Amino acid sequence: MSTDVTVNRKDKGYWDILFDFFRSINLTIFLLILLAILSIIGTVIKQNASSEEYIQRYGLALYNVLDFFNLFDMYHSWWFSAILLLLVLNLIACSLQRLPGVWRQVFRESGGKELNESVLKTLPYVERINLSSPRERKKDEILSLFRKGFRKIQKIEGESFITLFAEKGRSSRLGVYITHFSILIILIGGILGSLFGYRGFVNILEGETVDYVVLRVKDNQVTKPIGFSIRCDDFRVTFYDLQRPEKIVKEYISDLTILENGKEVLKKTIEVNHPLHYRGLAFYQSSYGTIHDLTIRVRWKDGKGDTLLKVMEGETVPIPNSTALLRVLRYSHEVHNFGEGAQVALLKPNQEPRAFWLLKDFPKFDEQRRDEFTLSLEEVIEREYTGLQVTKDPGVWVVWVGCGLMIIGLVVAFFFSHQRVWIRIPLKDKGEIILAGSANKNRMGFEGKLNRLAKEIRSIGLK
Amino acid sequence: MPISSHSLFNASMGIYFFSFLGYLLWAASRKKNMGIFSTSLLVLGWLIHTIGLVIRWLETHETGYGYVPLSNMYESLVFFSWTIVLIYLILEFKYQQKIIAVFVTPLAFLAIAIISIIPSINPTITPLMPALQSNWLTIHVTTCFFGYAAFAVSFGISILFLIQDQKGGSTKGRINWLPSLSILDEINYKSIVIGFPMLSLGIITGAAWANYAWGSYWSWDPKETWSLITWFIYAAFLHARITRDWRGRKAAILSIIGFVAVLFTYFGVNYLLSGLHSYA
Repeated sequence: MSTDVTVNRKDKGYWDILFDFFRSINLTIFLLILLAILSIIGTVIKQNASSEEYIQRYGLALYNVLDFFNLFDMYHSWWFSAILLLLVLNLIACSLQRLPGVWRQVFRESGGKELNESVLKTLPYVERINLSSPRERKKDEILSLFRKGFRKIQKIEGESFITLFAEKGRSSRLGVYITHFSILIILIGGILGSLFGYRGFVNILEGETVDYVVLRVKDNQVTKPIGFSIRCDDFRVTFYDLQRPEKIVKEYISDLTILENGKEVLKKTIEVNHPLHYRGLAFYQSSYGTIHDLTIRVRWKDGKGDTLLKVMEGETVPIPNSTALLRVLRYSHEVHNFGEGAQVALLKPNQEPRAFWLLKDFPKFDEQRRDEFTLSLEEVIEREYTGLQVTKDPGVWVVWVGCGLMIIGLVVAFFFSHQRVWIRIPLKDKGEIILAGSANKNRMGFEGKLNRLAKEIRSIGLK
Repeated sequence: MPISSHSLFNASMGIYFFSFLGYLLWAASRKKNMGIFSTSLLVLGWLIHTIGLVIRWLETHETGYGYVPLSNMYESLVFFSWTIVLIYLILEFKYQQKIIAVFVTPLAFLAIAIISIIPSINPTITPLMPALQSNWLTIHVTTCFFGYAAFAVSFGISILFLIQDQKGGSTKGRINWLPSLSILDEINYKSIVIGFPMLSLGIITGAAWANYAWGSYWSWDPKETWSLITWFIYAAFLHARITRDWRGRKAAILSIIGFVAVLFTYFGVNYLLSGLHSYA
């Protein structure tokens, strides 16, 4: 039996120590400063770049060390999350400890007590006023002065005193907890977003329709179907009318159409700062560009005729009747003063791929390669595409609710205070009037207010 | 426009400097008239500054692409200086502690003087790039700079606090022309109580704007991260004030570090680090 008790006490001891640790405000200060210092790292080291870029900048050895500590994505690392979690535990422990008491204070029946000597000792503001004229008759005047600052005044009639009591701003004590709670809400919103949301992009050529978005996963790109289609009807750039040759972009604009099973359901023109929202996804204007559709002629040397190949910049197509593949690397408006051209590569089995240029104005240029066929660039069609950022974030509304709560909480916590004021008037003609009170915040302002009240009470005594 | 906003800003810059000298003379002489004179100068400078801001706004409209003038380094510095003076004047009106001006007016003067000193800060009105064409810009920048300005005032008060605290070990050594530690602590808290919700609102409106423009309310871009670092430091200050070990001296040091973080968020990120905010 006795051993059980000691074990229990010991358990409770550890539990208490742990709870004391988590609820200490020194831990709060320590964690906030720690977060501030550690957050600096990620602003100095570029985050989420490609591994090649890091190796080039830091060298392989340092790269491995930095990567080991997740410093290339530190804000999502386990240790940064762990510190945030500690802060959350600290915040919850602090609130659990203090909130019940505060809650009782805020929601108890309002009932003023008589101002006896023991209460008087606990109050930071006490002013004793001696009036020359009879106090009892001045009671109503004092009451009306009191009413200017406080709406609800209770009158407690005792044996030898009348006590007037008023308080306001009781619920302002909750401001701190609203603020703390809002931080939890914001973090929950953030977690919801990272669990159930994603960020991707998609480039859509004018007139084309897509039903997927592209996500970047580490150094790779994966396509993700979105369950409906989106078409880009037009993309355009508008410029400011400056009445001088300089051109400054005013707006990037895309006309988009949403299609469900081939049927148009929504049309919207988007621009920067004005995204399109549809079925939990948001489409943002983020970039644009041009891509070139090329027509390349393959002419066989031994008289087998020729073929026209349609190929887009960046695409790879097989060359008919051969084992070779043709890849278009890039298009250029001007290749060394020879005019338009495309850089292509031939991929043949068991051969190193070679890159070379095809020039539109010199169709026989490729004959110098002495292959079984020659290639020439026949036609170039330029097409614009719009680059859209696509995000899904089901947590974003939770975050906004949290942000709203935070502002409300801060305003309540900082700009309202819980004030209690007593005025004790003796029933006998001799004796002093006592004005006393307390405020949990803005004590200077509160004292000023009571000083003015005391002055006013004194002045009625002079009448 | 008959008068350019730039010349008005220069005028208020000059007035701020003389007001600073006035406050110095007042601190040395304790002549009541000197104090009234310095405050009047400061108010005059601020009124001219305000007219300058309105004219700047009208000037942007004259060019045909009007915007609220808070969109580049030049405009933000001008606004920063304006908010510092405004918040100081409010606190002076409420607490009658002119001595704080000795440390705050130089900051307001410096902020507006930089636009003339550093040549790369360009007063030319250029049209806004697409991402900046948002009402969020106005509210985001306004709230941030009210926050920054309140922290600037708190920085000045914290320096006074440390000076007073240094001498305050014995009551005899106390500098009697400085306000008492408790008054300094109270006003310091008051200015942070203005600054902290403003900074929070600034970060939140920035997040809302980022969500409209880039589709993400938070992307750990250096400017965002530094504003959060600043937020952490002042949150630590607010908690430090309610504990015995941290009250007073340590809290004042936190406020000074906080203002260094503000300056880095404002200038350091733009000139030393890269990110989405590199335009402003």
